[in-house]
Amino acid sequence: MNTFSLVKHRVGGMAGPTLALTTVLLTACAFSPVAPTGAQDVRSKLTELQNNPDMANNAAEELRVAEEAVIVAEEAVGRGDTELGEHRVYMADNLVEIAEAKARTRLAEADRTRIEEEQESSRLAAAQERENESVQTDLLASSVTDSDLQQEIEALNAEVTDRGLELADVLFAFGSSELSESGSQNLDRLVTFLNGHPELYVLLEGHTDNVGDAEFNQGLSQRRAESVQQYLTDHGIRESMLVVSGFGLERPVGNNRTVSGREQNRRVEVIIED
Amino acid sequence: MNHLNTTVIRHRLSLLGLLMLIALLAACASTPMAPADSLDAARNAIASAEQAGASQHAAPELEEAKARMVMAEEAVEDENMANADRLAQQSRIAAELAMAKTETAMAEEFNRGLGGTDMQQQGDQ
Repeated sequence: MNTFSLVKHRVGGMAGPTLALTTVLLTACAFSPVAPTGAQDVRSKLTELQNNPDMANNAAEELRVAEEAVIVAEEAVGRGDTELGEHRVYMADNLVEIAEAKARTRLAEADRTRIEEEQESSRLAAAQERENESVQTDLLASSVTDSDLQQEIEALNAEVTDRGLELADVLFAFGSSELSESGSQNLDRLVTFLNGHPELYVLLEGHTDNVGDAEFNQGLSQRRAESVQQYLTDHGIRESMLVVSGFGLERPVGNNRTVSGREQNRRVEVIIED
Repeated sequence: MNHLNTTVIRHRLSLLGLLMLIALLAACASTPMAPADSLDAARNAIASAEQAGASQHAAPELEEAKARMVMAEEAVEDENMANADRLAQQSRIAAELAMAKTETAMAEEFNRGLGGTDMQQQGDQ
């Protein structure tokens, strides 16, 4: 508007066509749009970042600022003002690159947090593993103890039954309550075992075959059990650990009609209880 | 009374005239103002970037910022203040980019260090 009034004043009374021509020329000079060089490149760089979720999510604010600058850079400037256009493109380009750098920094920081968390959790896992290992070692130790016990029981020639730990029967000759050599050997192992387990009780139950009357056999079974008891106490086992009883001919385990059956019945059962 | 009033008005008028004269003289005599804010902002941005280690991690961007700063100062000497202002802004934004790239480089480098430690730890196990 100012331009127009100036022109009018200066031109004064001159002819209309001249005025019109001057106006057109001036207008052309002032407003002829020139697309700033480079603006398009900046725009496509910005679009690329905006389409990359890693960038868009990590530098939303910076990208918004950059976009504003790009919009300004895209504005047409007058022919005489290419420097302004270049300036705007330069600013926009740098803002886009700053947005990219910020996004990459934040990505790296997120990575770092993730790496640190992973390291922390792997440290925790390692600590957990060490703990598990030590628990396993404990279990192993106890199972070692168990297997020791297992070996001891095997050495005793004993069997775990519902009554407790049953030794192989100590067998006796017909009519005798004297320990045989093999019976003594079994009892030696029992002594060793009981020395290691003073908390246990041992039932010594004497039996006989069915030869002879019941009363005799009752006495014989009792003497057989006492014979075992004597042997054990002679070898340092406390009497209080031993429970002696005689059952006579009442509880045969073998067939009394056969020699081997009667042999099996002439016995002392040794049952270890806890 | 009347005399007094007239004196006051005269004083005020002469004061107003003096102020107008000063304003006119100032406008005529002074060269255009240098874009101090833009120049300061650029100098600060360059200093911050250098402090952050930009000469090591974003040397081209830092050099760019410094070059624009030199150009801005030359424009000030030439009394082309509009150009000086733009160049100062360009210097600042280039320094800010140098700063941003330095931060990126350092963060990524740190992670590589972490990764190395991680690998070593795994190797030990």
